[in-house]
Amino acid sequence: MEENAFRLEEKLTAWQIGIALGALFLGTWFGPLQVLEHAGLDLYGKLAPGIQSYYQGLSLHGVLNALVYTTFFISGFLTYTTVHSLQMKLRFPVVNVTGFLVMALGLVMAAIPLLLNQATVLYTFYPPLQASAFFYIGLTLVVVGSWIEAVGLFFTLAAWRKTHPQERTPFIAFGSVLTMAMWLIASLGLAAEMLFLLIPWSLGWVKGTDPLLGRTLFWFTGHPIVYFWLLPVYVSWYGMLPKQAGGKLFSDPLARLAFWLFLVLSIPVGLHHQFADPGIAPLWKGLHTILTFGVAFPSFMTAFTVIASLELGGRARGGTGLFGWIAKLPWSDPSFAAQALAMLIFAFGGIGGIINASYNMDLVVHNTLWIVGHFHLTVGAAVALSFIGITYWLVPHLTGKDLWSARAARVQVWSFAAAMTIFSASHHYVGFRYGVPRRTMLGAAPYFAPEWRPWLVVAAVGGILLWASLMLHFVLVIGTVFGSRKSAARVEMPVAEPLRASAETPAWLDTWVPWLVAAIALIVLSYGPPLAHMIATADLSSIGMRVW
Amino acid sequence: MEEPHPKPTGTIAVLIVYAALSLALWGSVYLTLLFRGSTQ
Amino acid sequence: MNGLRIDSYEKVWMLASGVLLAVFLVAVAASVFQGFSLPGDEPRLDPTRTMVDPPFAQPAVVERAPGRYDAYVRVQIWAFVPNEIKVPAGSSVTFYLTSPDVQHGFMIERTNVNVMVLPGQVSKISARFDKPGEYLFVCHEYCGIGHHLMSGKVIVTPKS
Repeated sequence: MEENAFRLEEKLTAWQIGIALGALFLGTWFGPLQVLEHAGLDLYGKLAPGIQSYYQGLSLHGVLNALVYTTFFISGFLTYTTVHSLQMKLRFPVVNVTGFLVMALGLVMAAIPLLLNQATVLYTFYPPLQASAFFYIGLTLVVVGSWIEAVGLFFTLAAWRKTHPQERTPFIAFGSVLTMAMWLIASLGLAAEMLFLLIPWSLGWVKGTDPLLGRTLFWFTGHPIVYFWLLPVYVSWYGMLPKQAGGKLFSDPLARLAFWLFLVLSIPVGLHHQFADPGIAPLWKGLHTILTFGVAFPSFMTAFTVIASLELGGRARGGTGLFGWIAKLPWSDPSFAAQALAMLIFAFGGIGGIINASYNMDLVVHNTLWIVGHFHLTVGAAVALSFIGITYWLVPHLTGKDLWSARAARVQVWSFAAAMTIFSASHHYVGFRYGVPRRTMLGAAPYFAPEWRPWLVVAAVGGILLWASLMLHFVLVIGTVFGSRKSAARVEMPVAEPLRASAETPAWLDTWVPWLVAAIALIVLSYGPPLAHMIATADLSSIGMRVW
Repeated sequence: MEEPHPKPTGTIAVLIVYAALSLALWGSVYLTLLFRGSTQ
Repeated sequence: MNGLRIDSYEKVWMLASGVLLAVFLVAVAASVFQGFSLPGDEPRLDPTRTMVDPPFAQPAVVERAPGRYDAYVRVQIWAFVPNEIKVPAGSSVTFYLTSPDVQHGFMIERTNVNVMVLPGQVSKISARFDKPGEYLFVCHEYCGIGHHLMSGKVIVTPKS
């Protein structure tokens, strides 16, 4: 296809990634403020009246980094990957553009109350703490906009399949569209919480709400959202990184099977975020534990397939012996280094996740700083550092310019990984050993214990270094966008080839209906009875409180 | 036809280390649960 | 599987990881049978009457039998009522918690007492206090501007 065939799609991608990076930029500034406060230096007074409290800052940090950065980056990235992988333009561009505009409108609508201290409810917005109705409506529009974009991608894939009967869907497009399909189903819980509980209640149409029902609907979405964040990373690790490493995708069918398993197993597990909740029978918590262990399995599969794919590259580049291939990998490529380090860090996030999911073992760590350490390893590193790695080829590709400095990018990537290790290890330790609570303005807590301080100081060093590393990332992106060095040859999207051609992958790994049926059946089995009981006994009498 | 390739021995070696680490970390939290006492 | 060729090394890993997960599940199940349980499904309360209906209107520590206590704690903006629970060493305490307002948490250091506290719901969990000393408990769920002020202690007196 000619150079400019994907002009519209790339513009849509650029806008969404631009907004994502803008959100990350703003959200990142609250990180150092939080770790410094924990370590004993409260700088929030200097931000008044712009930012009124630690908790408002924390709400901004969570919403901007965990919800806005992710959703916009993913929508942009997967639009790009789908059309390029299929070598086909969007079927109905007006649908995708509309979706994006709805997302952007929702973002503005939610941002205003957040900035005005009218939505200081953290990114989980548990009722009956009550934010401005515009906050809930805005976030709902962001979700609905992402659905519209997803539908646009579905139409595009359907058009490709119609014109390529008997052919296997190219892997990158397959993984991208599956991610959006999984997200659409997963976000129904959050949508229900918004439409039936929070929006009518915050508009005053209904006087009270039921906090446990709100929580449960939130976490219906709250677990699979992490796979909405992770699967685009897996699209890159399986579908692009082996090429970048000089290797091949070790197994096309197992890569696809892992994705299908995520479609089926990502959603019926959300109660593992509610192990410590009252009002939910242990039977259902236990069932969700077993299913959560089930969804760990495709990640274990991914570890093997991806590492083996990279090993092929390392050995092709001259590596020998059991571990020699590791050094021979293209560490000088910042895009590769970022994602390889992200993988290494994710290994620890994964172990932590299995610990958290082990039913009663959650009692040791629930709502302590261990959890903060955990999700910074996963969304903060596995996802964000991989997204950073992706921008180091995607931004040059979209702009036609060279990456502003590969050496600075390597410094940025390694400093990020080191900072995250320091930040996360100290948080895990202090949460596990002392039970230091999360979501808390610790420096102002009368119960602050002196044993905590050295670890929180270490955590602060990690947090500040993270901020600095991210600032360097923004410098690199801006330097590339506005830089003058046009690329000699346009950077292309890396596409990994499998060891065995995908034409040989069996058709049942490219057939949607049975897998969708299985996904929905498992949701009905695992959530149907407890939700039905909760809805039948719901007591909508908790009135809204704004106590910040 | 599958392209001929070296066996993924390095991968298995890395994963053995990973499995051992997982067992050790999981086990230490499990023992902590037991040490902190029954909840019934 | 229909036409699915899997490398022998990958098969070994899939089996090994499956076994690892199974071992964890069995260990967890064993601990559940030994009494390491999560908070369960207690009967609901009317959240609008928490401040007036017993037992949370006047929450107190009640001795049911020698060395066995029930501690009713009302968790509210921004305090635990009561915020001191005194028992002799060797006691078993069953905590019952609810909130009249927003979501809170309750976590006692050096124990497995770690629960969410919701309006209209009762969180029930027990612990045995063998060693004398003071055990800090805090709220670990954001509940407004005074969240970090919420704490209390279980005071375990030496057996006389």
